[in-house]
Amino acid sequence: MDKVAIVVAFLLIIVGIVSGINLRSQGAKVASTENSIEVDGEIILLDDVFGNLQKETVEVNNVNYSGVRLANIIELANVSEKESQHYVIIGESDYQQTVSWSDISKGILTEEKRVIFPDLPKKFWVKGVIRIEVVK
Amino acid sequence: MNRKALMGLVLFGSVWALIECSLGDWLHHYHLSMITASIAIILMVLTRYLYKQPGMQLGMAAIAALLRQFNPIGGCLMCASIAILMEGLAFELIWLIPWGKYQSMTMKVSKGIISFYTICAAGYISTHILTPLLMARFYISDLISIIPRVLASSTIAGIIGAFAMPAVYAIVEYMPTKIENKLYYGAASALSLICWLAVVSGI
Repeated sequence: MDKVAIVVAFLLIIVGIVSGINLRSQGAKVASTENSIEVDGEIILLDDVFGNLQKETVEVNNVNYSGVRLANIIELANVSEKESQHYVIIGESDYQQTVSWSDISKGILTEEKRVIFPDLPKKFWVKGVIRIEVVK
Repeated sequence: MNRKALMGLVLFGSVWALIECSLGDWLHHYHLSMITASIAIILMVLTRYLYKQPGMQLGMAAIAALLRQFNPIGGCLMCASIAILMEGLAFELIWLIPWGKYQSMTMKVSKGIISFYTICAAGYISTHILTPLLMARFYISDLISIIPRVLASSTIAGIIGAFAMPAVYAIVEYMPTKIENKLYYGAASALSLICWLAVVSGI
């Protein structure tokens, strides 16, 4: 029992360290796409988004968040049948959350590249968004 | 469960809730929720040794999860409550292993790493399964994407466990085993009440 426990404990720590190193290396790759996000294969420059699109403020739990409507950003990418699609929002370290069009239509993207969904728990508020994929 | 253990369940569940609502919220901003979870596991280990009551720690988790819902401050209250409850459940399951027979230092350290790591990982993963199921829609691809993050961050808890488990064993040896009933129930009730007031008022 002693030996089994030591081996399992050692393996858990090794797996954790390897995962941590992997996450850090993915974070380094993200730095190159800092000024843009990819929406359904289209590269969208954030300077254009925040320079040209109207900003909106949403209030969640007495905190105000300001940003550009996600629906407007999706429209920039010319997504077809956007209401019937699902959207995978991918952030740094490949953290992702999938949401529906009804969520997208209420959500905003802040200048810090964080999505805010007033009707969804904070775990859906992906930080450092780098890509939005469209899935059926 | 005897009356003394039931009072302990309420007291330590309330303390756990207060830690989650105060220190937990603050640590969450710095992506250090694993430290909060580790403190909760230390509480569970300590109470298991003090009261020797299987099931008590799940009860503590239920109290903490319930109180978390009354705290006006914080992000996803549902996520936090799910994580707390699942940590309690994971603790009870891991403690079904007959660890007590083995008392060597290497065993205590290994037990600390395994239990802290798996309990934290269970809490983290279950939140990412149950929250979407209850409040939106669950996608397996979203769950897969967080696995590396779970494995990496649970390592912090595992390392804390390596030191905390032998420390809890040492502390328990020096703790008073008998406290006068009047003092025990009075102090436990007062402390529980203070925790509830602090949680509800948003401290």
